[in-house]
Amino acid sequence: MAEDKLKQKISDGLNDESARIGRNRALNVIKPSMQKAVAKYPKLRDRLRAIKQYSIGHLDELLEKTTKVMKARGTKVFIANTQQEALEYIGKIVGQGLVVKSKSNAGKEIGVLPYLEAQGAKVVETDLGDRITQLDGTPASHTMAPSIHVPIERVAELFSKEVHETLHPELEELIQTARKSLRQFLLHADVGISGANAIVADTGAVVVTENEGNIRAVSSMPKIHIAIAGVEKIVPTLQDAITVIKSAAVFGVGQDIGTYISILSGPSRFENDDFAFMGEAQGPREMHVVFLKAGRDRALQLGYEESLYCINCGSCLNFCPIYAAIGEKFGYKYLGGRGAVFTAMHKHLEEAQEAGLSLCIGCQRCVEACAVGMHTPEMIARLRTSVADEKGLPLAKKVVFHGLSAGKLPGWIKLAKTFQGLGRTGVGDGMAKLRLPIENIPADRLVPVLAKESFSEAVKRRQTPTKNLQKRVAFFAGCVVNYVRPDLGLSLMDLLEGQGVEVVTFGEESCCGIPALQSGDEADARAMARHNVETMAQENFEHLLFVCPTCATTVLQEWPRLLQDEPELARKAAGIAEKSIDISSYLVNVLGISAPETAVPLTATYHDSCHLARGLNVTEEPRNLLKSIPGVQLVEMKEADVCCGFGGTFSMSYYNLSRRINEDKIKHIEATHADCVVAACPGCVLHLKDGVYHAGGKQKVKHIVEILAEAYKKSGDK
Amino acid sequence: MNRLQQITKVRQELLLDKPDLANQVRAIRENAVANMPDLIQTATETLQQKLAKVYLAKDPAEVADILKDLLKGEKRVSRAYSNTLDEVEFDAIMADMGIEVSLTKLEEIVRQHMALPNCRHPHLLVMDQPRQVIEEGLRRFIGHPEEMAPTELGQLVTEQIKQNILRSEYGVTGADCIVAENGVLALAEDEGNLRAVSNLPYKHVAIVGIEEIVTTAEEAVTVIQAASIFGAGRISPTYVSLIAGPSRTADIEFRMAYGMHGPKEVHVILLDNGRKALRHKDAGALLKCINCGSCYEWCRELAAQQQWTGATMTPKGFALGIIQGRLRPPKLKASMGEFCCPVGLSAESVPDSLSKI
Repeated sequence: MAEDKLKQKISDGLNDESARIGRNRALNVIKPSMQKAVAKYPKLRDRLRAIKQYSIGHLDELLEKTTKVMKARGTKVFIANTQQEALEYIGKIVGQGLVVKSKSNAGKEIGVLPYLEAQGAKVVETDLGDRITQLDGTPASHTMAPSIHVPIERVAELFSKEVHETLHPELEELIQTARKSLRQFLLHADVGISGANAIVADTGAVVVTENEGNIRAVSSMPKIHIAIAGVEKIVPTLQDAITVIKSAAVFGVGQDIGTYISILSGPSRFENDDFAFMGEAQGPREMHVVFLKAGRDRALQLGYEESLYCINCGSCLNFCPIYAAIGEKFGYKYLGGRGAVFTAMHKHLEEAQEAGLSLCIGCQRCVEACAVGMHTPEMIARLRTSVADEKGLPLAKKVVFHGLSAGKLPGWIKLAKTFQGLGRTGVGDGMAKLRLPIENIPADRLVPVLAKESFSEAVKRRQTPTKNLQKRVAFFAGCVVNYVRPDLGLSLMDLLEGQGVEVVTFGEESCCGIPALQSGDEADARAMARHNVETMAQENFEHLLFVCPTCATTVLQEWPRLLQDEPELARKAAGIAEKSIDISSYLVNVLGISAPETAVPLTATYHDSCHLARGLNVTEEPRNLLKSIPGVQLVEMKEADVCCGFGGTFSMSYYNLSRRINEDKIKHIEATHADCVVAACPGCVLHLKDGVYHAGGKQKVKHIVEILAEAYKKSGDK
Repeated sequence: MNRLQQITKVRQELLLDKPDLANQVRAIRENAVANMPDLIQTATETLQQKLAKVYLAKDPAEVADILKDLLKGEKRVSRAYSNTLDEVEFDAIMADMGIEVSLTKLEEIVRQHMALPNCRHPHLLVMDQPRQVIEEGLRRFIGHPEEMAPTELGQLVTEQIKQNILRSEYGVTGADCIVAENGVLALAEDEGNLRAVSNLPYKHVAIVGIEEIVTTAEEAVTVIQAASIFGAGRISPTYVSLIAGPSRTADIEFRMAYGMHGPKEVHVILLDNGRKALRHKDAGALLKCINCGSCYEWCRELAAQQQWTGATMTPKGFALGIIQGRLRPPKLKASMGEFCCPVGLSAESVPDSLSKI
């Protein structure tokens, strides 16, 4: 059910072309600005994270202090344990009056606008973008630029109707009209409702930031001001709040600071008590702060406090390939992967699934982009484990993962190889089209052809040279190399032996466990880790090499964690993790390989795989290796480090989404005019081949090991 | 307990929780004075990057020239209260130009309408006046001679002020700080009239002394909070507004437009008027002063001793008065006790520095 709703949302999102155009327009400006701004303030993220860590760690105490100080300064404080309580409190104040409202995630969270309208109040959005979408009746297409999908002609239409005049689609005229029109509402409104970017415990202040000046107006012109804020907005001092505000500007839109910051510590009052009898001056008579606790308590109880560090800047969305593809369909109230986590805390896992808990492809660009460095993909993985624990896995996945952990894969492969000729048609380069669609895999999608001989079978037949080998490394092949691209493993062995390095392999290894883990099946992943660690512990080697960075990050980051309750194995896993290294880093940093003599004439562009670039922080070594090969011309593509859309099982569960992300990548590749795209991940290679094929392109897709093997073949012994 | 005694009591309580505050503020202000030339340069650039127009005025005559150009043809401006507007005699410049000035701070309105003496406190403009005097001043403002219920009076006064602001094309203010890093004006208050004056009219003019420039927004709020604790006996002002240029939006087709809700134009006049000269003398330390009013009673006694009139009663106010030739240089007299200062000035250092001008 949740899965069906989700599939529909994906479909709708992929088909909404005008939202996508608007989104891209905003993103193309925001992203470079943000990157420039972040580079200017290198200490900002750490400082903000420290503030948030402290604040969330002392939340009860800070809430108590805030309430005390606010009340002493005349602000009315209401702590709402549920959404309904918050709505009722606000509803009682508003009645059927006129409300002017500024942008508020907390307000959207509780659904304050429809609630108030249902009881007969009139609510006017004062942010221009929100007002335009309000008049237009369409949803916002981007958090920072909600009305970007509405053309100026339509804006002119909407405001013409609003002010009963014929307006031209001219920017200046429309801005002035909107200003006058909204100012009338502001002057006559009974209540102003805003959110809060931060709350200061020391001085009992609500802190808001903006560019238009409407929040200043909403919080000063009506006689009553209500600010809605989640309790996670509280920070200790004014200086802390300034850091939050600056971070929101820098990370969210690439501004060094918003145009206006307002620090509001109570209703309008007189410094001079002799005037107090008068009531209020140029400001509200009453100020209310409604704190939301729902969901936040749960996040703390369940150990997801990091999700409360979020300052709602939207930086993650600007870099998320899923958001780029389907926009606000990813998430619920709060958008993106962070939205799925939030939904799990506020509602149930069912709603979190609808919000897109399984849509995070694990590329980790959000972690890089985040103002507080939240590990959202990790939190999502934990929640998926909870889903699997609670509901179990879909049958197909259960069978597959259990089979993997029980070492059944080799048997299945043998079976599949026997029949694969029946089910598909080859298209060359090791890929094939299915004759019929299977489950989520459409017939026109390219699938890899299973190798005639598995890697371990090939190794058994292979003659290993014994002299001139001074070093000893082990090689974990992974499933793709084992059964689809044994040539990559063999090329690696040739390459290393030519450099005087002996390579040991482990026969029929288990899968590293990442597909099971990504689906929340920790038990099977653990069994696979256990089997692999026990096998590896029987060999001696200086380093453990990988041509698949996904396997590498799993070994490095997940195996020790999965086995932490079995001390002996945990120790061995830690030892193995310490020796683990990807092939490019090994060649450049450990072996110090010298440039090859053989030329490989090629114009190549390099694609950064997510697990290599962000999982292992390796970006320069593969490029340096390629550049050192005579004849290779390396051209950088735009957005080289954006996910290709593979995501392992993701590309099977959500192929249409996977394909859309791939298409964007292929466009960037085509723009370089390179004849070859090189990646250091076998999964990316498969997916890029599918993408190039469907774009009708001629580019070759190679794993870096293939190119290195060619370049070092005749250079031979060092 | 009168107002000043109340402030002293609360200040002591609040400072117990913040033993480092004075040290922080002193360091910020020392840097501000020491780096003034660089900060002026940086602030001018960043204010302009934020699309404020920046002018440098050597003295009130240059301020008048700038305003004559800018406000030509205007009938009315609204203004908030600021020591700097006093210093350049802003109202007189407006009177010369035939422009009506609408006051917006209630204390100033009462002081004007009741011709009350100017006690020269940096921010308490009406002190120890009986209630009837205040009410009458407000009734004169709205032109309503008969007595009325105080809350009704309050509402009419507030409405009148708001209408005056709405009818003004220009809103004029000072600023508590300028943030050089971001091109930001920082304004602090309790009533809310500063927010109205700097948000409702289409154009905003701020006249700011060059010693007010600090480096970061964090420094600005630290200084503002200290001024409130030391000088007003409050943990912070009710409203602090940080403003980076004109109001803007790109919500229509991602095309930038200005003057959406707030001003379309922001003009910042940076005022020298003896500050650079003070800095060159050994009296530069007096420029650290943030006009908080913590030492007001001590300053009042000093002014009485020296027979000084017409200057804001703060160390900085006296320093500016002397360098601008409005006050005679001090004759050394007996010392008169101590005071509490957020920037490290003392009853010993102040007369000493003043005598060096």
